Amino acid sequence: MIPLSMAPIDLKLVVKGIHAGRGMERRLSDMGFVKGAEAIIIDVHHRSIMVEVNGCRYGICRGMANKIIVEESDDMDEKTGNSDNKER
Amino acid sequence: MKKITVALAGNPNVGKTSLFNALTGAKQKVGNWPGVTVEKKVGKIEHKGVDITLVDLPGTYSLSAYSEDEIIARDFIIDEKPDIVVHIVDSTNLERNFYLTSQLLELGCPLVIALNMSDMADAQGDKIDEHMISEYFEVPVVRTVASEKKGIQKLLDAIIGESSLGPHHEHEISYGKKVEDKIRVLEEILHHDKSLSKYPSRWFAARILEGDANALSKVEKSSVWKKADDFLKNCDSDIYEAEMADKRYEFIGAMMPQVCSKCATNLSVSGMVDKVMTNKYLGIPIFLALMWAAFELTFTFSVPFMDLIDFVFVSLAESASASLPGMWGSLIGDGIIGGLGAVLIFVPPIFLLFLLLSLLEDSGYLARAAFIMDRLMYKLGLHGKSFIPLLMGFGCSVPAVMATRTIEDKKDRLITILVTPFMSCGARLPVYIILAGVFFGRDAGTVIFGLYVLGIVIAILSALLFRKVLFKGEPAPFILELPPYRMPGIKTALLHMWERGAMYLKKAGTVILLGALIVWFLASFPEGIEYGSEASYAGSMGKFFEPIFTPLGFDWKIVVALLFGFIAKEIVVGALGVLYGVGESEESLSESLQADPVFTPLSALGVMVFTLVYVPCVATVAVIKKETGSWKWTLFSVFYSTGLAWLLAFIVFQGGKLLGFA
Repeated sequence: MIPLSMAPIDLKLVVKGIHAGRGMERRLSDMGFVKGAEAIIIDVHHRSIMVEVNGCRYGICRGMANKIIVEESDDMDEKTGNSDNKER
Repeated sequence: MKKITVALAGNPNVGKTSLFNALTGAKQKVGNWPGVTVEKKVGKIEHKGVDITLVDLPGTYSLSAYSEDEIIARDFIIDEKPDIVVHIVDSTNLERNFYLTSQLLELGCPLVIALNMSDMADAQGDKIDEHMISEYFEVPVVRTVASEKKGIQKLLDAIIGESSLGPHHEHEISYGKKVEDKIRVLEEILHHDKSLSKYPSRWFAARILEGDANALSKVEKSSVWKKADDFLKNCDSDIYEAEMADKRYEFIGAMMPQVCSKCATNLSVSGMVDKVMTNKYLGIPIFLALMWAAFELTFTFSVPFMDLIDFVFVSLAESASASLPGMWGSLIGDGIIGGLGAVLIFVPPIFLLFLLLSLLEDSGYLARAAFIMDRLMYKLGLHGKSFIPLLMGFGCSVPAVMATRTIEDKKDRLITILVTPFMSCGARLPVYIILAGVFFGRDAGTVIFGLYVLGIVIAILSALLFRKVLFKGEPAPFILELPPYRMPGIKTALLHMWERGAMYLKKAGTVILLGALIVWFLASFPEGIEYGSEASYAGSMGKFFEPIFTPLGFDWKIVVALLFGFIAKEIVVGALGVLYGVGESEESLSESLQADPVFTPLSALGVMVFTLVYVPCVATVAVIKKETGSWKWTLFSVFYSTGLAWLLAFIVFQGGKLLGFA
């Protein structure tokens, strides 16, 4: 379990939780950063990272990315409901 | 006749504005930027004998009252009770869009779902089953392609069909026993105050439970606050909030494989593209190269058209001056035709620039540019989102200043507003084009590009200064949506070009023409003087202010032109046209300028730099006042920019002389 800001690039990640204040947590969950969501980091810049979650791409600053806790995805362990729509 | 109100809701960048246009035929700006639809837009149409009033709600990701836009959208649905809410969904991105669907359903409004951009979903191989979606949500679902006006009639049919059903059961998502129990208790408590009865009770209770500040403030004022507060003290709203969001996603996650058996995640190609386009090292050079190419193309391709317009207006003005008697010939020839011609000649480059920017915008690249620039922006005390208004500033400062509304943090926003006018707007381009064209010949494109870069540098340095001195602190954190790359449609791009260009034409026909007439009047009177000479009113004004500008190498004609530039910066060119008596002689403005010894490449550069930096036009000053709500900052903007303009033009002229460029 590591913050998204420190997660490796190009690897399938799973969001494990968001450790932020109410407003920011809500905002992130509205955009798809919720427990169980799949994320992948496309690119890392000095202050921000480009991340794709639920098929949507965002530029997000590291401060916010720091509050999103992720884990490397284990493909076998995926939620059954999502498996065939993610794995094309 | 039956009358219904229909609200359009949806995430940003789902083609909501396009669909609104397709439905109403109204023309608006369509863009890739989150929150572009801030104003309320209304359209009226008739379909099958029903009067439909369409209201375009702001694009939102949810209805959680996190931002102004969300509150606007949800208050409209609650207070105005539209007969139908059409939720416009991006078909290439169902999962996230359905989150808002789930919230709209909870609000209890009759819903119709429009699966917009369904052609793109098909193209990427998605197999969307709209009947299944309709069954899951228990609402009508229609496929649409707003950009090609497909599915519009079917959508209208569905709206009318749904509206004739009257109140009926809507689907709701169960939050599980623990949460549902709390919701029920809260519903019971809230039920006792009639003032709260306009809110859908289940929805309202759920919002209270998750600690929605906007909803809580309404309960605080009601008679049941004490009871509700006692109950809420024993609830951890953070947990409920997260749990409810999870349940929504769970519901959506469970239905996804049923409604779309082959929904693609579009990482592959677009991911590779982004890796290159936004690369740490390549991103900025690519961005600069694209911008440079856009300006080069603009200048190269518009020259023949400009020559043509120039020729037509010069001949027209000539024959008018010659055939009409005395004062009338001068008024029509010099004042009207000369002034208008001086402005219209810039229609080709302005339209071309707008076209190229529209193509970049529609392709999804501009949002990336904001992302690329964030690193730099941050170092310079700006916010990643500041970049979008700054880019819009290349078109016109007025919409650009308004676009700062998407920046949540007040300090970030104020700094952005103050520096946005330094981005060289379309109105300044005419001045560069004529002066650079005359004095820099083949290098004109490069000089103009340089001025744009100078504007950016000034904006950035000013932001840095403001952040260090006036607004201490760090820019707020940001998250920016990067819409998928799309092949920009030439039709849409042309439409955008026309919409923005039409504003320029309209301004040319009104404010600028009026300005040119005032200039002509001041140049012609008192009676008996030679037109545009030093003895005229304009000449006296110019002479009065001339000493201030002598160190910059400007003479009174330039001073007069710059004074009138405050009305609109294009007038600088129109006023020069009048003062140099274009139309009276056989010379065009460019020839007259070249013949004037005051104008050297160096002083021309000084005029261009001054025009770039000095006080923004009246319309921009007005919008700065409106958006900041403060005269202090408005006046600050006026004096800061004008002082800086003087200083820079001074450096250009005196520095250039020292270096021997005279």
